[in-house]
Amino acid sequence: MRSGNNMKRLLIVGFIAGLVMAIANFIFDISGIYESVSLLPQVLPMNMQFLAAHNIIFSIMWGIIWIGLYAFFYDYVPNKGVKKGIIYGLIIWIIYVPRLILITSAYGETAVTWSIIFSFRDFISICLIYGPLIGYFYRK
Amino acid sequence: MKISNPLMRGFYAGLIAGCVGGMGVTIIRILEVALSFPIIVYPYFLEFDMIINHLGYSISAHGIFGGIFGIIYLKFYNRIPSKGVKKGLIFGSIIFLIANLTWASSNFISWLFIGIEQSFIWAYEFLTAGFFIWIPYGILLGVIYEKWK
Repeated sequence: MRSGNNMKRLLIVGFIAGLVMAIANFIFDISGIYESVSLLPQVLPMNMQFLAAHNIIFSIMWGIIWIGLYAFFYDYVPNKGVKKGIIYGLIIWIIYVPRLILITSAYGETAVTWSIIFSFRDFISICLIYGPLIGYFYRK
Repeated sequence: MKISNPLMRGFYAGLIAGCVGGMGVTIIRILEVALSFPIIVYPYFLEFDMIINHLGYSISAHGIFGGIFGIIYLKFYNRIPSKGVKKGLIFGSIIFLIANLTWASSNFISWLFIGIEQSFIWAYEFLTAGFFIWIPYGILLGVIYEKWK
């Protein structure tokens, strides 16, 4: 029964944190930063509906998966509460994002500029939004 | 060989495993073209310059990040289930999940919505590259770390 409740809590917190992360990413995507460095038309023909749908599906899906790993490694992530969440967010970000800059360096300047802006966007959304949220709402 | 600093032990073990993982992805790209796979990421991959370029950047990129992930492996070592090499394999699978399946899924969602073939090829690229980098990486990390422990 208790493990069922824990699973439910994980799903709810993961869903909410993922949704907030999606909103943050969406705001960043439509803020005009990509256009200001002439990136979007060269990368993909995106529109607002696509960006919204993509961010919501992607962030909620991974928000739930990542919190599953957070719960599993909970005792081994240093610190407590919100700080624990920030450290976990930083670990996820280090594994998930910065390698991209090295990989895209093979595809030229445009791809590198895009990946640097993208890394910054994900640093904000994963380390400073998703991490603190799961750290605050999910405690064992 | 005995390395006294445990952090450096994790880093070096990850560095070596990452370099081998970097070779793994180059080999699969060569096989794709040589054996005419249904999806080919780089059609001109059999050219010598292309292979050397890919090998160089792949080994260096995955060597550096393999080392960093090796330190993370060390930090979570006791919590990762199983023992020895299997422990490394499980860690490699977790890295594959976070580092590459995320990108693959992002591109796959893009392909579902916009239908651009390039997104599908990128999804395939992240999936295959991730598998052939991080699974050998995990196995080797497990083997080396157990030997150096």
